[in-house]
Amino acid sequence: MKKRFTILILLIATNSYAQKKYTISGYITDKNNGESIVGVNIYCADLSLGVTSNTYGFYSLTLPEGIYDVSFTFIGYQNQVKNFNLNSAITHDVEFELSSVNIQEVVVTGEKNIVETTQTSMIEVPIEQIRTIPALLGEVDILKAIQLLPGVQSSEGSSGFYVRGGGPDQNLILLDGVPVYNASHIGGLFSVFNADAIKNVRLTKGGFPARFGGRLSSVLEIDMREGNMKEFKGDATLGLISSKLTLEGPIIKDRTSFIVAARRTYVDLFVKPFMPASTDLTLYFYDLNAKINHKISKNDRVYLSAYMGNDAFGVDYDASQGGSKGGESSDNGILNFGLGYGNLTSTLRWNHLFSDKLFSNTTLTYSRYSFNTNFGLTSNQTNENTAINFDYLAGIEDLGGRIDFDYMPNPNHDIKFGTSYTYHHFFPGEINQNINILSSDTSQNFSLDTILNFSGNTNVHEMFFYVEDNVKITSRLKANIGLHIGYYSLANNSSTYNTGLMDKIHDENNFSFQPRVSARYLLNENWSLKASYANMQQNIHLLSNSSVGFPSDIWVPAIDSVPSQKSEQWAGSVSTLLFQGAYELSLEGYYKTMGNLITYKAGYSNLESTESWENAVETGGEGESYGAELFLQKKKGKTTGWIGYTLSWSNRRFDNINFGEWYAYKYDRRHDFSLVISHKFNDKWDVGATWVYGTGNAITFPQGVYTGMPHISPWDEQVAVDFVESYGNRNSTRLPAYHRLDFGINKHKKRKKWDSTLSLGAYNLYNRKNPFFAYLDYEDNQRVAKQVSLFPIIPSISYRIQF
Amino acid sequence: MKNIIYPTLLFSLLIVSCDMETVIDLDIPPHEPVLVLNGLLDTDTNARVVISHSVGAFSNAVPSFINNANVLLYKNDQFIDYLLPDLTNLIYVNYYDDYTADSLAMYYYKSDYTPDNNSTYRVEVNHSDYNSISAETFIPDDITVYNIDVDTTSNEQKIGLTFSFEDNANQQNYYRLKVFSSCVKEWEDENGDDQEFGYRGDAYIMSNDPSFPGDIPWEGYTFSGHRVVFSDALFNGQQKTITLDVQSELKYGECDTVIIEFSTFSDDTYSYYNSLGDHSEKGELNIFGGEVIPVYTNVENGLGVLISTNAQQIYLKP
Repeated sequence: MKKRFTILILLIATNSYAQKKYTISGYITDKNNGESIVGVNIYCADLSLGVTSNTYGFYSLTLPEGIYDVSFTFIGYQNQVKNFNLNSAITHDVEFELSSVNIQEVVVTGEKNIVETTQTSMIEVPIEQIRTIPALLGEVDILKAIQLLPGVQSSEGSSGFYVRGGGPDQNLILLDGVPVYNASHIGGLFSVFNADAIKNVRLTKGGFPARFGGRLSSVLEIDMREGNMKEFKGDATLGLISSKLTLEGPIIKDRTSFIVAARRTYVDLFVKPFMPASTDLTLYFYDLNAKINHKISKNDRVYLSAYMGNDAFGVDYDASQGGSKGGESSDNGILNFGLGYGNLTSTLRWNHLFSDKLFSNTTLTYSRYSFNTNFGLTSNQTNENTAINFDYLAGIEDLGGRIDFDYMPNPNHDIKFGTSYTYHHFFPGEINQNINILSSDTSQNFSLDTILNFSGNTNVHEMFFYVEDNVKITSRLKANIGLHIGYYSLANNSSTYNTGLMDKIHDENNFSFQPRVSARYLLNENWSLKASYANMQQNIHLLSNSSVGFPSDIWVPAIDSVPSQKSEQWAGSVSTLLFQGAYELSLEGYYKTMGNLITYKAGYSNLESTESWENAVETGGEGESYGAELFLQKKKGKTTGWIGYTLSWSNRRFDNINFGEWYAYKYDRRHDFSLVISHKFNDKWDVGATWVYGTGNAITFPQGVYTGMPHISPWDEQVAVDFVESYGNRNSTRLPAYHRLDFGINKHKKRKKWDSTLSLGAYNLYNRKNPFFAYLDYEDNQRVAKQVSLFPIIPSISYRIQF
Repeated sequence: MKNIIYPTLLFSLLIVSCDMETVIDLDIPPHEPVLVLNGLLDTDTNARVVISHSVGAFSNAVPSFINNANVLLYKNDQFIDYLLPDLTNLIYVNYYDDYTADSLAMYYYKSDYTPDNNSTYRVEVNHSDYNSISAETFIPDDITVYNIDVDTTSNEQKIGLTFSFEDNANQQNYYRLKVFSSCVKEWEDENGDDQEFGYRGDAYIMSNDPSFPGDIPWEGYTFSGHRVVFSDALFNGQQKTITLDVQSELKYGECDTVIIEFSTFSDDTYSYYNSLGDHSEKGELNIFGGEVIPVYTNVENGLGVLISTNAQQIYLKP
């Protein structure tokens, strides 16, 4: 531990030297709407020194006294060059203007170009690029776009994703810094993120900086837009299954702005006219994003953002309007089934500038995900009235706070440090059972009202401290070195939030030390080598017994018998720029090991069983994944896009599964290929297309059939045998390959007061019947394998207006 | 015209693509047919097993029984006897394939030997066309049931039943409990004609015993079913008292035969029954389900299962 800090201090000291220096600092915003711009390059060519703007658009560049030209560049915006006579500290805010080359031509970019960045395995996808990717039913979907990146696998129709052999629970999805525990609508068909309210999307697959923790496989950061500081704007989209409306504008010009974005589906409204009078159907989801931000002073700014989204599915059947035709029978009853789930998140942030070199961000967060299902039966019969109701509720609720500091003493160092605390409240399974039977024969009366907690509620303290330095060691060698110290303990059973925290903080077993290193070596201005190592720990588990991404998947905390998941990941890459920087090419290899993984015991279903979750899981699982990712992207010109190819292996091992032998993970995918391309013909027309190909999922499938134990048939009391299927090794069979072509075309029209875009598209254009599930069946007296596919060709149309 | 063409085109595309269930060529690992041994040894009947062979998942062949295998029975690693096919007593067993019933000729391999309790038995099977296979199972000690009490006072159709037994501390024990009833109800209808209704079969068992598998309480019981399998995990080596409510189709007074069948068996048997039940209830390939639950096998180099039981029947009636 001491050694790690010593190394860090030495690296900082290496680059310190005595010379009079001054700092240029400020915020960088978009001139059109006042939104802060992340990742702008601020570069002094005379000294070959540069920095980039942080998540809030703040930059700080410290240089020796003198006169310098400093350039501000960001792809898609007009470059700016400013001459500074640096003999004192200078505050210089920059307003960036879109260049004539529209930002839609930016495809995928990091904070700098792929050769210069220190960090491995990180990709940023501009929201405008996501808009050009053809989408299922025309619903622009951030997570579906993420699935097209190398190293990211997905399953048909699901917005869940699997990064470098990790599970879907191993992805930390942060919306404005708040974890989102279920990012799916309609069981995974759509993600919860409304693209109209989103500004930036960044995915980190490895080489995690020390400021991140809590998940093993990836961090997906999604930043909400801040709202237009300059003028009132609106954006409305009418789609096949949903409509969206976004309003934004200044409350106080250039000081306070807001944005509100809402989306709702209306499948139920279309279906209702075709439903029988006896049946009432509920089927919809909605999202609401809201954010307000205010510049208190030059040094202080606050943001308040919130997200609320819910899915609702329900069926009510009224027997009196059904078969009995308006009460011909004296009996009547109402049967209802309901299923609902949703996220609620909110964030309060305070940016404060202590000095032109020290930036801080203080965040308070709240996040809740809950899932509930209910079943009810009300029956009024001549001699008996019955009312039965079951409610099932599960979920997780977080309260947290964190403070992050960004200290930029000179261009050779960018030191980030901070701490975070989260109080998790898990309620993984509670059934409310209510039965009332009132009969004319009072001896038959029955009443029950009880709550059953099959898995007890648990409260957890999770805390971490981190420090990292993005240090320029030589002109060619740059490294990000950091340490993440995690603390995790179960809280005592009490409603007091701090109970248990101080009691257990002396127990060193509750701490974890997670070193992180990534380094870049410039071979020349067009080629670089990178390497990274990340040690991660995850203190929560997701219990999931289906690939469908059901909302019933349950988050549970690590406990003594089900300890925290751990991983180590090594990655190395070579990156280059081709054709004067028009193309970026990278080839990255990785090796990841995972420990303490869990999975449901075979056959267990959290909706069918009343067994406590810790008794229903296999623990102590190991995971191993390795592979190579090739990423070629074109960022400039009328035709843009990328090609991603992943060659990978991902395996699992549990003592009680597959006789303790290693087996292929369900999402082990040997080959995964994606082609994303868009072309802009002119200001009126543009087209986009994606083609994806992936090796089929690994499944457990019958390999043989044999006779079971003879038994006496209950039907005819004769001896009978059943045929039993023999399955062989777990996941030893491959489904057929998955491939699909999507296509979209947009027509833009500029009018005096508003612009419009008509979008037509088709998902699965050549109607490939992709495998979702396979089973053994009989056809023409022969055993055959049959597959079920989900999505045929699905056309879409939407109309968007911006005013 | 445009207004018609576009919706028609959309509709046609959707109709064309609606058949989303298709036969596929699945590249499964090759399956070499293996010998299959199935046998249930108990302390009341002569040892007998059946031998068959497996077929590949996509084979047109039906798994069939074999009558020319060499089958050897060992007790505690000592050879006891050959099990010989009883070709004179062919049994045609029904099976269901492709939703149609058919039958197979089955031969029991038998011996005059009756297995003992507290012993381990192994069966070896050799055949010239297949690899040799073997399996072994342990038959637990007898259990003594006492303090049997039947309460018919509150509700004659749902009787109360209590009994006790001593669990053997030296081994892990698994138990299975069933209650069989044979009842006849006779009455005279409004026309003066004699009517009769008979029922033979397993009665319904309800209990809150913590050793039984638990479920959402229903009508005040955490367990209900026609049979219950449980382990001694909560009462290892202790006296155990079981309290049940037993509901038959007819009243207790209308039954001429009521039998408690109480069996004890080893972990092999427990694993087999559990996996068989779980496989058929929730372990088959299921589009929204979890992983499949294979039926338990303890046959080395082959398939099937050799299990054992030590059952006793306690007659409450007659």
